[in-house]
Amino acid sequence: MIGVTFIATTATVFTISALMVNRTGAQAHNDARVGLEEVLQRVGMAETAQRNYLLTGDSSLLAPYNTAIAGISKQLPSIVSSNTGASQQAGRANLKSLVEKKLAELNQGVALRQAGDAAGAAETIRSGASQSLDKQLAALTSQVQSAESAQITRDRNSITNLAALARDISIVSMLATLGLTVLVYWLYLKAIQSERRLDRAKDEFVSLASHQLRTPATGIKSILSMLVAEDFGPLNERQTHFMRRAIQSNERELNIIEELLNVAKVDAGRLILHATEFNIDELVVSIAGEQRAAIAAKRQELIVRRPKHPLPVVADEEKLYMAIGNLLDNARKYTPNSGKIALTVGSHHGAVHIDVTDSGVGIEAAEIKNIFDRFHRASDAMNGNVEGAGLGLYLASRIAELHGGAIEVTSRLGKGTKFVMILPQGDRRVAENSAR
Amino acid sequence: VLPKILLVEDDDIIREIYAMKFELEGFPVASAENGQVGLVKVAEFQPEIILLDMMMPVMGGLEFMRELKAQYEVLPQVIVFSNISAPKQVDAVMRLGAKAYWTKSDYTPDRVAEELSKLWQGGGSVQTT
Repeated sequence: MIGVTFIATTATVFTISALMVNRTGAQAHNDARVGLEEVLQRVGMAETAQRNYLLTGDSSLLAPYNTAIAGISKQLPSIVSSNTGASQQAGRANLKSLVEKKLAELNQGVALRQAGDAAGAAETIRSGASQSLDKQLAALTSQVQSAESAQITRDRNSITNLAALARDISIVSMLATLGLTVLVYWLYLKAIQSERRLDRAKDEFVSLASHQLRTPATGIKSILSMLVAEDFGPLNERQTHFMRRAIQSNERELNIIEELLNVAKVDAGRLILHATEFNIDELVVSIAGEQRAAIAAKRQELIVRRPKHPLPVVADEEKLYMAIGNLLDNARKYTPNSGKIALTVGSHHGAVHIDVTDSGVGIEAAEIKNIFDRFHRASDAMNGNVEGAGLGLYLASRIAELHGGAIEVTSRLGKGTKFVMILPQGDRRVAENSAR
Repeated sequence: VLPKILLVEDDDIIREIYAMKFELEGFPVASAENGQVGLVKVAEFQPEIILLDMMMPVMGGLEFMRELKAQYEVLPQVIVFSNISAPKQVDAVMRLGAKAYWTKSDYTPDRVAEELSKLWQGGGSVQTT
């Protein structure tokens, strides 16, 4: 279809060009023919004026003669040099020559009369040479004009044919363009339908994966919780200890499933924020409280700093709970026993800053650019020293981005790391933001 | 007096363990493995609370809610109890009259029993989690 349109358009351009060339040629032939008629008309006028002068000897009658001669002299060269083809050029060159001879004869008659030789002047008119010249001029004029008229007719026919061809090609071109437009529109509709099908497939995948992955782990969680609650009978100390370890493993498994599902949602553009207004400082304190036991288990010191006054934000509380929790969890994992962690929340220039600073192992400079990648694990983690799936920082950064914020990181190897989550205080527009 | 609970859940383990926990806590309990059996049990057992899974064979939670709403003028308290992550389906079932959505993996039988007791004592006020 595109090829047909291209060919039709190209043919139209060539046809129009040919039409313009033919039109120019036809115009030149027509101009030449009109010019020739004017020259011959002036020759006639000059001859009449000359005759009157020869008969009367009245010099005032030479004025129209001289005007006609001047006009002929001016017009004759342009007729011969007009752009009208070789055969016509030759005919007009002969005609020019005859016209010049005729003018010479007329001038000779005038010159004799002016010299007082009225008989000699009359003889130039009556001579056989003059009669012959007139006949030749008449014959050649007729021949040249016939040739010009024939050429003009041919040019006009050619223009008519080319115009018809241009019309036909334009119709084909128009139809091809219309077909192309319909084809492009159809492809566009198909693309939209495919995208919608893909969106539905993504929704179904996330929904199904969510159900299928969580359900077995939920079953185990339910049984373990009843066992440890001694709903099925008393447990001894050793059984209770290992039951609690099993519950911890089950919780880790559910957390990893949750993170994987959130990653799938982010990738599918389905992580939707549900914004409400709440105090971010209270959320931070709550996260610290949630993780305090795990931090204390490593004998780490946790310092929480919050502003004197509540710091309200409009954001997705649950997602930020996860994101800030991931940052704090990360600090705990990569800080050695007895290390220090500081969690600070405040506002700077209208933005909320949540700093998580640790005295941990730090990050190599070359590694910093990769730490927010999916499934990225630090070298210590790869050695099996730190648990996790490498999704926590990725999700934290994506959640910050969804809120219109970001996470900045600075680190010194062996000294510690500082993550700063910067969030706008938010407005209701955040509510409908998604991971697209 | 504790409320009668109908558990509509296709997973055998979860159905069994939750039914056992509710019995231990003194709740009258019945269970159904899908929405279609669930509708029969609603007629027979006349529960005051239904814990409803969403993704089930034969008849899922959304279709169950549609049928329930079509058959009864006054609905029991329906709590969607599922691991599904499909906001559109959850919205639809909430519009049909479900009281709350609880993510199953966030709960233990002990906590659900406690929440249901509170719900019953508190006259039906319940939070979606």
